[in-house]
Amino acid sequence: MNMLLLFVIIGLGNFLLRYSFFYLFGKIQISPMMVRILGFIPPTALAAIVAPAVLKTNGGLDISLANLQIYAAAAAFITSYYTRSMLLTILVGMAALILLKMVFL
Amino acid sequence: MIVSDSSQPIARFFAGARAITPILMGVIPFAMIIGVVAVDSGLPATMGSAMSLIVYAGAAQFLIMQLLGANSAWWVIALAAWIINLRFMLYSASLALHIKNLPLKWKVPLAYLISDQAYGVSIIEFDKDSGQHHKHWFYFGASLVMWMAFQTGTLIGALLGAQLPESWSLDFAFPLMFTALLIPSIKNRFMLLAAVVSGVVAVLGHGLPYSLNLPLAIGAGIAAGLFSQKGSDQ
Repeated sequence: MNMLLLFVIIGLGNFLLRYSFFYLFGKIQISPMMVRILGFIPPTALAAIVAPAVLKTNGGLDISLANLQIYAAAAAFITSYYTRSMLLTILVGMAALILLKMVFL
Repeated sequence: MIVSDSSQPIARFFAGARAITPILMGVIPFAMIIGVVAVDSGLPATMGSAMSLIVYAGAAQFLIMQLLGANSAWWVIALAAWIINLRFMLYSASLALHIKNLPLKWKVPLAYLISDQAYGVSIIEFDKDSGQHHKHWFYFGASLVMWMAFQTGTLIGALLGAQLPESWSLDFAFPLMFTALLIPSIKNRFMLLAAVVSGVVAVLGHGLPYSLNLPLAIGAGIAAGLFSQKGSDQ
């Protein structure tokens, strides 16, 4: 599929998501069940992305304690929990991985 | 002495622009990484910038590039990007309350400009005092500055792209930035369980074609979350 076309399709969908309640405001009621499901989407979608990506190395998925990225990710988890800062989370995680690689490889 | 009225549209616009400025320190490096990764994954710099203009959602763009690299089906890529951006609906609902009487020529650009950061600083401002005038000008100032920083950042990153050393392992920035979104999104133990189940299923299903492990994991995680919540209700 043409990449620009894919971007346009995704972009149109994004716009509809952003515009949705500018249009729907006052027109619809969302069921409590729907609210519940929507609430679970961010943590599940993000976890589904994060977990394999943390374990993924050049040689494929490495699910062993020798995978240094696991420890760097743990440092990033803790940083995010206490600071809520995206920049700090990325910096600490990257620094941890670089240090671990220097020490153990 | 000239007295400037701080409730005038222009003053509100600049108040919004000022409010978002401290956040740009985090936005610009992040946007640059997106530009670098775009070029790194084989896109021409123009396509990297086109993606930022059309999609305008950093996390989703990161995900799109990863999935393109993994030969995912186009509809899985689109669905995954939209799922990541479902939060925009929440922002839309929340902002709608404050801009409901505006004409279409305002609503369309204001919708396009929705971002985590602009929403965040605007809603904090609106919550301070519900009787403010020209709220949309405040939000417009914040969201426009955010947009410019993001577009400039990705463009610079895309132009620098190829010159960065391999050893920087920028690949790992991908799970890290999603970690920074994931951790704050877990607000109770049911969500924690849902996230753990989803993560485990995504890893177990890693070998599936077209990145089908993603929708599978999300479905399993939501089901686990709903069941655990229901179990504890009784």
